[in-house]
Amino acid sequence: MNQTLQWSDLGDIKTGRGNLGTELPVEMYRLLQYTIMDELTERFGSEDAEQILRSAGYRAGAVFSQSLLEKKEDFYDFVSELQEKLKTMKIGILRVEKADLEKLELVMTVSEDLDCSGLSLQDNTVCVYDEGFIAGILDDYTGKTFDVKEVDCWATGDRTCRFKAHATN
Amino acid sequence: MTKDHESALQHLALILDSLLENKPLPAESIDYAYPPEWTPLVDSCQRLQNAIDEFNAYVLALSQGNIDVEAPPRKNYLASSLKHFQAQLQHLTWQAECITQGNYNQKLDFMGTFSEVFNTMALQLEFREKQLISQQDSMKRVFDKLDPIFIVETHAGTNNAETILYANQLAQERFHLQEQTHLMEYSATLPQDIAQLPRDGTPMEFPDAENTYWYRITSSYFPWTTHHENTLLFQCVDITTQKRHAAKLEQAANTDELTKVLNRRAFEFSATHLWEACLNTSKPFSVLMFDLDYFKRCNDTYGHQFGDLCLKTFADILKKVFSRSSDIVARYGGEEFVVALPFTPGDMAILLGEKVRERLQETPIPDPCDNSLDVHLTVSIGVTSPIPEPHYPLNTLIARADQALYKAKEDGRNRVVFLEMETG
Repeated sequence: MNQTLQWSDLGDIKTGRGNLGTELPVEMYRLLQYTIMDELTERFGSEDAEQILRSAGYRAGAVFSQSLLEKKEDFYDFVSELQEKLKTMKIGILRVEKADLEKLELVMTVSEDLDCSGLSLQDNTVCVYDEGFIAGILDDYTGKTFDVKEVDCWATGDRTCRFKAHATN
Repeated sequence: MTKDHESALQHLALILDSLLENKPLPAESIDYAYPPEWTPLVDSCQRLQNAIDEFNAYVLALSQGNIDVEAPPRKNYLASSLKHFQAQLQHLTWQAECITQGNYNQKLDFMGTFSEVFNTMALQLEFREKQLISQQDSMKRVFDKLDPIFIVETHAGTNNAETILYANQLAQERFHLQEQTHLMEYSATLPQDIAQLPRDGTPMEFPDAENTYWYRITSSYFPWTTHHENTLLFQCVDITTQKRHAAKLEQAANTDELTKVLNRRAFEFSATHLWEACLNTSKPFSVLMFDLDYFKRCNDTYGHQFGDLCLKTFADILKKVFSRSSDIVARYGGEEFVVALPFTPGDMAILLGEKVRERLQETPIPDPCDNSLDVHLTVSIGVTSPIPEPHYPLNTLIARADQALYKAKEDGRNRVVFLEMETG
C-alpha cells in the first residue's frame, strides 16, 4: 500500500481555526464517518465498504504511528506511549489484557471509543476503521503484518471494544 | 378478563416471582396451557431465565477469582457492565505482569481507591529497585577493586558442574570470562581449567599474553543465595608482587653483582644437584678453576675500576664459551672463577679451558692510562674431570681443580693443567 498522506498535509489547524480551535464534537466526526460508510455501502455493498474503511483506518494508523509515536524499543514503553497518545488525542482509552510477544498475539480493549461508544445496539461490531487503525500502528511498530479483529463492541452491547490482534507472517 | 386469563396471569406471576427469587421455574406454570397469543410472553420468560442463569454462572466464576472465564454471549446484555469490569481486571493483571518484569510505566486509573494503593505500591517497588540497583552498583565497584573473586553454585548430581553466579572485573579479565554488567545476573559454567585448580592456597602461576600472575586460590561456603550450602566463594589472592620481589631477592642473593655470574654459594647449590645427576648416571663431571694472572699487579697499576673491567670482560668470555643451559659459571672469589660442566669428559673440559685462555689473551682491554694502548690479560686454569663417586663429593673436586690451578701457576701461568682425582 503506497502511503501518500503526511501528517503535515492535515494543515496548520491552530492558525487556520484561530477562534474555533483544534477540537471538533464527536458527533461531527461520526457524522462524517458514517455518512461516508453509507455512501460506500450503497455503491459497493457492505463488505467492500467495510474493507475500504478498514484500509483507510490502516493508512491513518500508519501516519499516526510515524508522526506521533517515538516507537520505543521496549514493548511496554511503546504501549505506555500509545496509551498516552490515544488518550491525549481523545481517540479512546487503550488497555492491554494479554500480550504474547513471542507469538505476537495481543488482546486489547479501547474504552470510550471514538467510533462507537454510546451507539444504540446493532447486530454486529462497527469499529472496522479502528481495526485498520490499530493494524497500521502495529505494522509500523513491528515491521510485521497484523490482522486485527474486533470481537466485542459497544454497538453489540458491551461497555468496551475488544480487539484481538496477531501477526500473520 | 376471563377466568382462564386470570389463572394464566397467576402462573405468569409465579414464574416472575421464581425469577426474582432465583428459584427454578415452577413446572406447572411453564407447562400451563396459556392462551395461544401469550406464547411469546412465556418464551421471553424462559429466555430471561436462561440469561439470568448465564449471568449467575458468570458472576460466580468471577467471584471465585476466575477472571479469564468466558463471558455470556453478546446478546446477554445483563452481563455487559460486568464484562467491562472483567476487562479491567484482565488489564490490571497485565499491568501487574508489567511491574513484575520491571516496567513501572503502567498507572491504574479505573479502580477507585485501589488505584491509588496500587500506584503507590508500584512507585515503592520502583524506588526500591532503583535503590537495590544503586547498592549493587556500589558493591560491584567495591568488588571490582578486589583481587579476582568468583561466586560459584555447585549442582549435585550433574557431574558436579558449577555455575558462576558472580565474577568480579579482575576475575573476568584474568580468566577471560564474558563481561558481567549486573551483580546478580551471571550465569556461565565454570570453565574446566578453572574448576580443576587446587583450592587449598597453593601458589598457582597464570601466564598471560604480557605478564605472568601468581594466585593463591581458596574456597569457602558463602551465603550468596538461600541455598548457601551449595554456594562457594573463590578468592584468588594475587601474590604476583610478592613472587616478583622474591624472585628479585633470590637473583640478587645468587648473583655476583659485578660480573652477573653466579656467586660461590649459588654455584655450590646448583653444582651439587648436577654432580648428583652425574653420580646417578656415571657420567663425567668436570670442574675448571680460573685465576687471572698478575691481577693484583694489574689492580695496583691501573686502579680498581680497571680491575673491575677485567673481571667483567673475563666473565663475559666465560659466559660465551660455557653457554649450555647445564653449564654453571660462577665467581669463586676475588679474581678466581669456577665452572662446572656436567656430562663433560676431561678432554672436552681441557679444550674449552684452552678456548677461554686463548680468547682472553686475544681480547684487548683499553689501557686506562693511554688510550692508544691495549692491555692483554692471561689466565691460569686447573681442571679435573672424574666420574663422580660417593667419596668424591663436590668440594673434593673443587679442591683438586684448585690444585691443578696452583700447578698451572707454578708451571709459568697462562696455561691449562689437568689433574686426575687421587685414588684412595
